[in-house]
Amino acid sequence: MPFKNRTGSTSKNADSPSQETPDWLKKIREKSHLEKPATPPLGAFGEAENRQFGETEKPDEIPQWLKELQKTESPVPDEPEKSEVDWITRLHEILPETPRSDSPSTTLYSDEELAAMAAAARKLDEFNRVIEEQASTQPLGVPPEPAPTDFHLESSSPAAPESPVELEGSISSFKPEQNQPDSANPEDITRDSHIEKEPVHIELKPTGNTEESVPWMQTPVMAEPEPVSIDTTPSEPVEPQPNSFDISSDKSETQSLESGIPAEENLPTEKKKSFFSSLFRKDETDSSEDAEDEPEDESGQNDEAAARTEEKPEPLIPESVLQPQYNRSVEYSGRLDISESQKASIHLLKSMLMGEIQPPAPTATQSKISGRMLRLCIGILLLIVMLFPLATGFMLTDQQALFSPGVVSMRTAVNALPENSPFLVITDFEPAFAGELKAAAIGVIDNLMMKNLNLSVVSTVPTGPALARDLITSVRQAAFAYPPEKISYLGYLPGGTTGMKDFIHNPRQALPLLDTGRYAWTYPATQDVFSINDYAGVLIITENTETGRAWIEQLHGNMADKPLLMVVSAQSAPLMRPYLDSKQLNGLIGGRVEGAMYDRIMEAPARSPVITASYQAGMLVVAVLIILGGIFGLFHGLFSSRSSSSKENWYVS
Amino acid sequence: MKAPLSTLIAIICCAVVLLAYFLPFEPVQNISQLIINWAVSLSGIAMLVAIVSLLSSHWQKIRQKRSSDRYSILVIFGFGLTFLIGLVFGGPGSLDYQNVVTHMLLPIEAGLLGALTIGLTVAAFRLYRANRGWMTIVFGISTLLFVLLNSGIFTTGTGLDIPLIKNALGVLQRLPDAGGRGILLGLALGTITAGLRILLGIDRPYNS
Repeated sequence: MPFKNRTGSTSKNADSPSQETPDWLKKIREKSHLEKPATPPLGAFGEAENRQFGETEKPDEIPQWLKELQKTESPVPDEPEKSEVDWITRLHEILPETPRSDSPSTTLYSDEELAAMAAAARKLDEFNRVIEEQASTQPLGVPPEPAPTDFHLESSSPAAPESPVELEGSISSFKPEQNQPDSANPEDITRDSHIEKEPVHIELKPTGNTEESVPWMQTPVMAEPEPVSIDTTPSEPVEPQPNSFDISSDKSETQSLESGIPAEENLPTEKKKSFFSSLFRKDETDSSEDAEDEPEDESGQNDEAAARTEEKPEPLIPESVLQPQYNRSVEYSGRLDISESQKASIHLLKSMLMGEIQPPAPTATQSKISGRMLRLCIGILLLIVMLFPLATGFMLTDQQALFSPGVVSMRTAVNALPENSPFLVITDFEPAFAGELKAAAIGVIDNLMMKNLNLSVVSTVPTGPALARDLITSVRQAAFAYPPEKISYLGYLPGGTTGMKDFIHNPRQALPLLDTGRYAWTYPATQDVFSINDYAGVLIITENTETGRAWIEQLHGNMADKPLLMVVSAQSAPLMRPYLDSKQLNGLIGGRVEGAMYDRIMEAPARSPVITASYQAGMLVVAVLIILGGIFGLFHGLFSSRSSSSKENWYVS
Repeated sequence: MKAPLSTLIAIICCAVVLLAYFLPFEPVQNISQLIINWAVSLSGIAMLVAIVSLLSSHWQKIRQKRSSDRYSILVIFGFGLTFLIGLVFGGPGSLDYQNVVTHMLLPIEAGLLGALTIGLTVAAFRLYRANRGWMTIVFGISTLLFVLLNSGIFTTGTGLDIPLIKNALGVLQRLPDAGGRGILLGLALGTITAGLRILLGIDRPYNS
């Protein structure tokens, strides 16, 4: 693939003694002093030198592009990202072999992206645009080409020339780029005409073979693979030196080049190819780190480069000149074509990731009291406080004086129930909550029994039927027990929500038997029930919010004008109260306290007041412990923050 | 699409059961009821399968040569005992089975809940030492407030029949309801979304 060399910006080091320079290179330098550079040198950040093409440069005068380098030597650009962006957008100009993009990225750009790119291009200064016009770069419309990971001379013949004569032939066979696309852009036309004026062009093509580099052509910056760096400023001051080396010369120059090569250094052509590849060694090294296509070549190249560095430590091409041009591809590969909006997205994502507030690590508590001891002390304290009312009969408070709306609605709904009518009781609670729910529901069950209702008991929890028996038998005992024929225990209803739906649709089919094995629907308590609407009402006793919600949602549309009552634990009450507000529930009791309210509102004597007193005492102790713990923690935090100000933990989460 | 037949069956069943809520036609209702009956029976069988799987996994743990799980012996022993009681002594409706539940399961689970209470109390006591943010303070104050409200201390006595106090207590009792209502709305939306995804065949949990 044709490649118009841009390495005319390379210059020799002024401090290097001339006797160390090869004769053929001296001739090239002398020749280049008298001739116009075919390609203006590149300045810092890949920008071309602000020198009109065609001007003769004085040998003793510091080139303008080196002045630019000196100007931009130490200070970091104010907007390095912008320079990177410019470099990326001009990557195909700096390295003509760089593919614009393997993917049709331009077709995916939005209008905003294209406008941003055009605006960025307009911001280029004058010398940059002049150099763009003069530079023998590839026009913008060049089709995608392989990445400039490496380059070597490509001869017209299949086999590489092995002798200087063959080298001459191969070099003279270099032709201008043939496959440049037609472009209506005047700049492209200018470039094309400029290219035609150049009699000799060197074709370079990417290759992964880098083992044949000429040792004396290596520079330290190329030989030593440096870590990835985005620093685009030269690290060392650049000495004034003439622009002395230009590969792009005419044919006579090529002949002089051939004749000037010393015999001992008249190496095979493939090694001369490596000279050009060595110019891009750094870039190729970095790129190949990503690709890792040829690890063996990589390792061999590194070893060889290290050896060459020891042999020829003096750089022919200053590091400060090459680094700005070819090290930038380290950060962004030549395959990437990053637009402004994409870069903005990258920076936004980076800032989001970096700026995310990390959850504060819990403070390492170093207490003299271990956690086990604290748990033991608090447990013992709770036990003592809760056992005290049970042992002594101490009443902490009086009976309930205020009643919640759910309790009032419950009483109204239960009082409105017709006597001796079928009534459905659903006991969906686990044994762990039996104590709380028993105390909460026992008043309602007793009130239902006062109405002589025919109770049907069902549960979707396997242990529910046994707990229901325990609950109902505990309401009235012995001689005052509720007649067994008034209660039918339908047992366990499997299937979860589906079972609910099945039972609501057809109770007799869903649960044909009692839990004792008898046929359920000939029993006195249930013989009048043929559908769910035959029940006068439903009472749901549960601690599970999901179960309660499912029953409400399944029953509400199927039981018209029938009261739906619910007794839940205190933890589930806030989630059930919205149903009470929306009249989907006709009564709600939440926890032990509201059960005591129901007893009070029914003017019944308080059931197990000592247990209520024990419960209240335990709650008070918990509240006091929360207060004490908070005070202790706050003071501990204040003192610890004063003692160790570096471990400030006051944050707003 | 993987298993198109099962996906088609699931979608049809979902659609029929859903239509039965809105169409009062007898054939649709009957088909829906039939499908629901099948589902209930299958859920019972699924529970049997789950029991067998539980027992087999614990049996495997017992048979492990290294680090044999001794608690698995208790699990299998407890299961066998409960099964025998339920099978021999008259099933779930018998008094013996009720005694197993009320005298064994209930104290055990209540004891676990009591241990949880102590653990939560210790955590509340040490809350501000581990985390001292504003939200922690708000959380602690709200916890304290509702512990006291649910204890019933503020609703007892004879001098509480003051409109201001009653209204203040009513407002405080309503505060958790606001959060509960939001949770219920979220649950409803999630349920609708999940149902639609299954109905449209986007989610196929039966294929996993």
